[in-house]
Amino acid sequence: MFSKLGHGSKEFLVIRACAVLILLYTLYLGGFLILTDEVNFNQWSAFFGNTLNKILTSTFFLAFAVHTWLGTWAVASDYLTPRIFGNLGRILFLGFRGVVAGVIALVLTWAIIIIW
Amino acid sequence: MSAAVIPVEQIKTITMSIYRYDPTVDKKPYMQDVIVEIPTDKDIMVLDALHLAKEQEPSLSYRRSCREGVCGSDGMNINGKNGLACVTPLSEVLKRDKITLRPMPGLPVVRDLIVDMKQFFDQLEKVKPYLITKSDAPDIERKQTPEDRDGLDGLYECILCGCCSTSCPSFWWNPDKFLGPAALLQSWRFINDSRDEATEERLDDLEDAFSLYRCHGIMNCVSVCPKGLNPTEAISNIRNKLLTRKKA
Repeated sequence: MFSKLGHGSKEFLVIRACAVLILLYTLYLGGFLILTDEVNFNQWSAFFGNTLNKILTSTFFLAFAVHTWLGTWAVASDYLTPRIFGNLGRILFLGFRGVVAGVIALVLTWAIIIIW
Repeated sequence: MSAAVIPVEQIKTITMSIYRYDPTVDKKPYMQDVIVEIPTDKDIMVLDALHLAKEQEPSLSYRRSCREGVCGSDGMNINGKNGLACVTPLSEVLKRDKITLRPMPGLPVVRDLIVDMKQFFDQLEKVKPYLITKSDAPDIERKQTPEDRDGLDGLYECILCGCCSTSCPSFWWNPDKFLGPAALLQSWRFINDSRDEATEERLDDLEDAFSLYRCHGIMNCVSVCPKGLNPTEAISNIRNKLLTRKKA
């Protein structure tokens, strides 16, 4: 079913699915913070030491990366275009995409190293 | 409606700040204040006030035709919001006896309040705004049930004034890629028409990342439509159809 969708439909679904994952994880983490009497190093360490929580946290960062990549593409393709900036538009667009890709790669790598 | 025939006690003076630009003369656009005397014993429309302003400034240019909200010619930006001058009561938009008129944003200005609508109609053309049939024509006519016909309400009434598309930021940024609310409303009008036989092709044409999906649900189109139509809902209906259809 998904594979038969067009590019726009796939992107629409993926960006929203990622948003739902981000929301669910935020609620989950928020629930932990609220329900835990005193959040200290030991509690925090135990939470992230749990394998399930490691998987959930990794999923969160992956969803964050995909959501950010697609979302910033939409923003950049609105504002950083040759239509607005002339030939500079292409350079600005690619430069911005490069910076976003770098930041996402950095955050994702750092997160995975810390979590695992 | 010459001010000269109206008793003095029934006259009010207002300031019309109007966008002026004649590319053959002006290096850049400017705003011109035109002082206009309007009657106070009745509520005139913005278009009527424009006619009074034109008596003083004969070079002032704007489109108008039917003056009753049917032809869609006099779409313009009234105090920052798009609308039809002929069906907008002056009393609703006057602020401290002043009104500001600009051309609809996002399209090239031809002169004063007149914009070049080519991009708008190019996008409309892409959605093939006409019935497409493949089956043999019946003897008399292609019939619809009353229920099917009801599905066209809120869609066929569009007069293509351009108020919605030119108030849409997504259309401002990508007028060549994003079809815009007016064209998409027309697209849904034919996708939802039980007599049309090109639904799949129409949907295929909207599957890319820009044509339809560049709508961010800002809903300026709904806010400004002088006919009270809802292009955002039409876009949402097309999107649901795209996501739920079973492709062969």
